[in-house]
Amino acid sequence: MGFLPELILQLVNGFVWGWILALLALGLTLVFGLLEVINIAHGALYAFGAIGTWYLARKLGSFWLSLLVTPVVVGVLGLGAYLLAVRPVASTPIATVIATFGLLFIFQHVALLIFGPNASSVPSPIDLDIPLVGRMYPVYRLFVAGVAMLVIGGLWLSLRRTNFGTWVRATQQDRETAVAMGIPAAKIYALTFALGSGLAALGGVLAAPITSVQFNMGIDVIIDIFIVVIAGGLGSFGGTVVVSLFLRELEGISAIFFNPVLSKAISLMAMVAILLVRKEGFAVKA
Amino acid sequence: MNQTAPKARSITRKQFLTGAVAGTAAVALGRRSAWGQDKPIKIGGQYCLTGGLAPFGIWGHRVTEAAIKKINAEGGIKGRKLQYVFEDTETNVQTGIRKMRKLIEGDEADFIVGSVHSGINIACAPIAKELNTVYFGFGTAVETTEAKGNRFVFRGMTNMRTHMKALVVGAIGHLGKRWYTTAADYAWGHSVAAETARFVKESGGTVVGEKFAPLGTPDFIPYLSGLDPKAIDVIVIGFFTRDARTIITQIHQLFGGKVRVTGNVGVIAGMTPKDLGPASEGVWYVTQYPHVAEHVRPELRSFDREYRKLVGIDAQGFGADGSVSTISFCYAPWEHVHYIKHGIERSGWKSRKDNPGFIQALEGFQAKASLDFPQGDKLLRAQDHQVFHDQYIERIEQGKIVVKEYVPKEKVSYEAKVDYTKEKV
Repeated sequence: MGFLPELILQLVNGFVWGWILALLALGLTLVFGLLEVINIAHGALYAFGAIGTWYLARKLGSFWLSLLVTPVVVGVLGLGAYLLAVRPVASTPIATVIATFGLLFIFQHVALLIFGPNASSVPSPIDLDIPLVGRMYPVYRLFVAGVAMLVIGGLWLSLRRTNFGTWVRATQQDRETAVAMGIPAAKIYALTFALGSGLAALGGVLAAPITSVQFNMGIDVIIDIFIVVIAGGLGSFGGTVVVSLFLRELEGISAIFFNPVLSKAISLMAMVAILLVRKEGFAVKA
Repeated sequence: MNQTAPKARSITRKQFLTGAVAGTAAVALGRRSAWGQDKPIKIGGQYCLTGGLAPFGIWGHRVTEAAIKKINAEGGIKGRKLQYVFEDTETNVQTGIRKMRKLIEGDEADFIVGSVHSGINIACAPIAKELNTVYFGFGTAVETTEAKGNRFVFRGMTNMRTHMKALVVGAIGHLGKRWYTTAADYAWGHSVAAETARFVKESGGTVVGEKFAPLGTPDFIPYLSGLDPKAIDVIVIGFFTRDARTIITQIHQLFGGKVRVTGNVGVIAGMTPKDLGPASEGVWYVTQYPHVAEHVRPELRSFDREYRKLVGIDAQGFGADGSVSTISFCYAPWEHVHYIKHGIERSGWKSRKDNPGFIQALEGFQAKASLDFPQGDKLLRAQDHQVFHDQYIERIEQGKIVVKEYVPKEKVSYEAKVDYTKEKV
């Protein structure tokens, strides 16, 4: 395969994964930006999304139902976890880290008990490949990028154009003033946590037919998510999307020249370089 | 002044001597229970019950429990019952080390039947020696029974050298001469690549490339898309469970059936061909124990039948809960417990101070096919404590597993690189 075709393939593939990563990272950055809670359990919610998809695909043969239902169910689960475990300690940042770490363990072991230790897969709901620069490329991956873009676009609009979005931004900027103005901050916090959980689950639903499903799959993505959230500027919507796409494109392009481990190291070094140049990351606030 | 002295001595010399004798006797007899039986022999299970290797660890743990139950039902070993204590390594080397010490120093385990994680096996080998405890691991990195092992470490499981030798010798005629390896970037994956390269070259083939990727890579397409299917006959997969499933599926997406896929049984462990879908079609792999009972060699089937019944795995390789077992790996934990049984019987072992005799009894031990050793005849080589046994080459055809070749143990043997028998214990 020549350089140009391979470059095109890597760019397309990096674009697809960049949007999935953005979806996952946005959930975390929204929660951090508003609640200042570092949700260590975020990866486990991604795994729940994938496991829910596997379950519905197996029992009802429907991926599409899972696309609609699983993020909502996991969002409600996230809401419950927030109310029970995070909110009581929300005033102490280190305690929230410990609480979400505990949630990670609980979620992972619940997943192990329900799903079992084996890996499994979800058949692609769009069983169609198209030729792309001499290779066959799954159409489903393009669909995933499309869904992720739509959801992220919708989320951006809702943060800009709805009361909920205004309240979120107001609470993020100055909680005391927002409360004084009658904004229901406690509800906004809880809903944002649920929204972040739902976004993680949606990422898991979309990724399930591409990768393999296993109870501990959240661990694989959580490091990348944290890197993106930090380099994107903590709490920054635009920065998170830009860095997600940049990270995955860079990994894909460097994979042409280097082995996977080195290409991963290069992309991480690039993130460090971003933070050295701009200590606040991209910091494009929503 | 003198009045106080007798008062200070609250027990007399006679009472002291009586107490000392009674105490010594109690300590000596403490090895026996209230019913006059010997103190149980403690087996420490060090398994990856959570984390990426949980499919192997959970079954290793279940099978160990079943083996101990069987031996206890037979009356124990030389009249002593077995007691099982276990710990979860979380598929993490540091945790594995900590749990190894806890089992030996805290729970006072007499023997450790250990992890499938080669990194844990290698890290725990010096601890086994330091704490005078015989350690059986079932990871397959070659180093465990070479430079990184010692006289306290045994492996009743095939290793990557015997595995890849069996695969290359048995299948190169079917698969073609141009091999490409892609493997996990840790000790085991590098073992897969090194041993593949060695035997492909020895068999007149060529390794056209190697690539290592981190465990948990969700997308292999960036690393595979540059491969030219016309320049490669077969891709060796040095991954297992989730990673194996992901990479096999993505190879199929990229190249269709233009490139053959092979590996050790890790590529299909914990799965069925149906789970892998169309990507499974035509996958070749080497296995040490057939998933499906009817593929077991006829002379071993009666043992296999009883063994499956005792460990709770049916003739198709499913557990009682309907989950796919990792049966290809289960024989090692089962047989490890039985090596302990035979080692104790042959050496007269009573406590860890008798470990030198126990170790010598197992060095060069030739196990005969039986319910104790259902995988078949085997040799536990004296010099490197590595087991050698027969292997099978299987292929998935039309969604079903088919045995293509049978490779006898003599064909997978190799010269020992170390001689632990010279180590003083």
